Amino acid sequence: MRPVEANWYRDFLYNLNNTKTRYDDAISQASSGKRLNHLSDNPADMSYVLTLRSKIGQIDQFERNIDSGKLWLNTAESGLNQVQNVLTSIVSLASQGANESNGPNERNTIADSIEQMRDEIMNFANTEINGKYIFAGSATDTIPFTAAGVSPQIITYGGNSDVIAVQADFSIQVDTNIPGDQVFTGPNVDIFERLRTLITALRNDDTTGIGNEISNMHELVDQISQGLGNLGNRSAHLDQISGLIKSFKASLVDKMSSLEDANMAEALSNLGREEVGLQAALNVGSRINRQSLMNYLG
Amino acid sequence: MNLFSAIELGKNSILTQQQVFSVIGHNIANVNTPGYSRQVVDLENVRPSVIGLKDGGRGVNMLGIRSIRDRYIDNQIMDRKQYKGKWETLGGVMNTVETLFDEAHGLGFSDQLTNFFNGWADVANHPSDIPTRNSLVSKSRTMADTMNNTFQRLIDQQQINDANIGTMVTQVNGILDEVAELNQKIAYSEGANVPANDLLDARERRLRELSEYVGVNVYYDQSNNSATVEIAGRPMVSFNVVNHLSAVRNTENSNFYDVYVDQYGQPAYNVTTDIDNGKMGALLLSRDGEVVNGAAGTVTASAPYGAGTSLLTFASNHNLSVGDLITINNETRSVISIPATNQVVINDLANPIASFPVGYQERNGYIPEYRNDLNKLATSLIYNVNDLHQQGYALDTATTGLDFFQMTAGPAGITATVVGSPTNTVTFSADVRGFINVGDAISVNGETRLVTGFNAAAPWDVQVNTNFTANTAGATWDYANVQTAATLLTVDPAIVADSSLIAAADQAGSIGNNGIALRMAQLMDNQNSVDTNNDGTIDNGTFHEFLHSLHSKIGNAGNTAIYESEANGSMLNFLENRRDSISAVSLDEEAANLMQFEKSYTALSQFMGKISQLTDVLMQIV
Repeated sequence: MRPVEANWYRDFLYNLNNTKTRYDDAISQASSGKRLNHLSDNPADMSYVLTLRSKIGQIDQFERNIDSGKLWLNTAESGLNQVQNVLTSIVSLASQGANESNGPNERNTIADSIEQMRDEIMNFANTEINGKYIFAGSATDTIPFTAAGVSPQIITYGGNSDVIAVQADFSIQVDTNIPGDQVFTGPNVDIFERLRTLITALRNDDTTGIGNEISNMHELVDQISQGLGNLGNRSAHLDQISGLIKSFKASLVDKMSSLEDANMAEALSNLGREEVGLQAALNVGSRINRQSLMNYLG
Repeated sequence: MNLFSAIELGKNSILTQQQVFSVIGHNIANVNTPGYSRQVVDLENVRPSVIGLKDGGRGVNMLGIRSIRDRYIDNQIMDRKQYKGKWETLGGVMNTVETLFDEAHGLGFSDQLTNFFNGWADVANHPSDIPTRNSLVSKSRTMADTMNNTFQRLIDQQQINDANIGTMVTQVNGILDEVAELNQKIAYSEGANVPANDLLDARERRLRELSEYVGVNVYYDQSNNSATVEIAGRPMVSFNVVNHLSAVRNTENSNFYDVYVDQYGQPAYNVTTDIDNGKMGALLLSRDGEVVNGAAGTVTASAPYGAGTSLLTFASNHNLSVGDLITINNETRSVISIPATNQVVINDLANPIASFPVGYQERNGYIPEYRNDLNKLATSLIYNVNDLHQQGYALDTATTGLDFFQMTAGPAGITATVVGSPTNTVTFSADVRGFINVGDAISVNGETRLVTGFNAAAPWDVQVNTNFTANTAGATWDYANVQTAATLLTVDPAIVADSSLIAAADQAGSIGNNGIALRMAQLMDNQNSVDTNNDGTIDNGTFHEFLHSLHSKIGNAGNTAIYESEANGSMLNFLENRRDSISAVSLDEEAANLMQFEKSYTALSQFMGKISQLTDVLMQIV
């Protein structure tokens, strides 16, 4: 080829532009820390990254769902634990009442104590989280247990039998509540009604009745234990799912990062290399001007 | 030879040398002029005037000034310019489109769609919480706004393209005129035996510019060296006669410009689908999509449909969407409706099809496809979300049948009746084909469905994708068109005003029920969510998958444009180097020439001085 100045300048500009474009890319990778900055940077990887990101967004939501479910389960669990303790106290008090050495007065006093304890159980059964009753089924705005009438009052359930679930995973829903009629007024015994019978027997000095109730007391304890077991299982299930999705999320984040994050060492060394290239190109540019026969013409 | 003729020789030769200097000066002055072809002086020793006479020679003469050019490389550069123009412009347009879908930085529609479904999961966690419901409303509105805006920006980009096409038509016409004028001047100049070097350079520059705008074929006439220019196979410049381009608005294509060639004495010819290179080609391509032969092969029949419209039947199933452009016999129409997968409805052609089967072109990809995809996504969102939402109960535990996304009310006086449910037929009290088409969402009696077809015999019987479960007589109805869904996507104003109307419960009477909210959140993973081909039937794929396939279409188009414009840039750089190594001025060469001719000039001057001395000697004899 016949060398002409126009080509020197064109090549210089063309290569300088290419070097600057690469320098730009190197700067944007090194400063953003990301390898993919536009949809067109690598459409296949980008599309994968977007899918991963939407999955990660979903898992973040599952974690929030699980937290919210755990709060309900834990609150219900601690409530039922208290109820269990109260029931144990009631059993021992009732046993005292059954003792032949006690007279009607003592039995009355015991009946008063047991009635207070029953109200305590009712309070636990009316536990709220943020103004929502957790033992009312899905009627979370309705107070589930109300007492009415003369002592010993009759306690009735005002909630419903619905369970409320949270989405814990892509395909798993976990129930986060036990409706009141599934642990207090059912499914086997109506705890409040049985305690009312016990109180009435104590008031009436009816030792046979007292004896009968005491011997059936384990049914009440069993029903609460069953509820506790239920809650414990679900809580454990949520913990297990939470562990699984956390590690799943970690693997997704890893994958996403390997696709979209720039390798910093590489990005910085690229930047250095492009800088040197740019310097060299500019140097060349300043030399083009000096080489001409014209300089030697008088 | 005598002394006087020697003086004559010296004078002529010095004048010739001076002309060489002026050409060297012209070259040096144009060292930076793009497209300048260096000129050289052809010298010749003067031929003897009389053959056989003993003569000592008569010095040097200028034969002519020649410009150094290689037409083959010039043509290659011109050819390459149309690709460079195309891909650079397309790269610019795609860059803007990519920015509209700013997904790479986590600000795009994909994340907002995730937020929308997560908002429902939050409501499922706290169904009676007003702040949680308000937050869902705000997430939904952000998503809908982004959809509206993205769609609008795509239309804006099409309009920007369109305006540029209009301007470009004027510029191209200007260049065509100049080429014709230069053709004439070159012919005159060369006819008068004056080399038209600088005119040839000027024409070459204009032709390159033209090629970059629109892509041209150029042929050179040997007799008068004139350039014949063709655009899209149509003659534009023939010696000094010019056919101009004209931009004519096309109502079938959103009132965008079609490009016509005005042919003298003949009707103007539409070349919109034929221009596929140069900047204009790129603008047309990204505005309308790529012109390809129709997927269904041929059109086999045409029948009157409604007033002014025709029903076309294809040889097999087409893959057209409502609003797509098809071209038959160089007439372009937009698809109004798709009554069946092998049929479309269009406005009547000006020239009815004379014989069947006849081939057709459709346009694929780029902005129209992105717009269609957003519409499909919006329609499918409205369908899925509304149908589920209508089954749910608001926070007052009783109100049901509410829309979540707003739909358009059916026209007054036309009512819908469902008889014999479960049934997939709804009977309207009048023909509703002016309002709804296949693929649209309709809501009747608290159930949202997609329209799959019309009963050909009784067009007010409309088929939907899944059965209605309840009968209703003379009910009002709502609809969402697949052509406007992305523009109109809005959260129902009643829900915006009062978030307690969000139906989170799947049963009446309980405030803590979250059945519907849970199912809404699960829609994100629903494997069958989007009607991807406007046939009213839901196809495989989640909302996000559909969206990401749109993203990868855009990314790939942008990627190709960048790659192609780099490749063509490098090719052009190479070709221009080739050309310049032949045609451009080398300052060193000119400097050497200067020195060389300076020497001969000095020698000639001294020669003349000597002759003058000799003459003086001769004179002294007298």
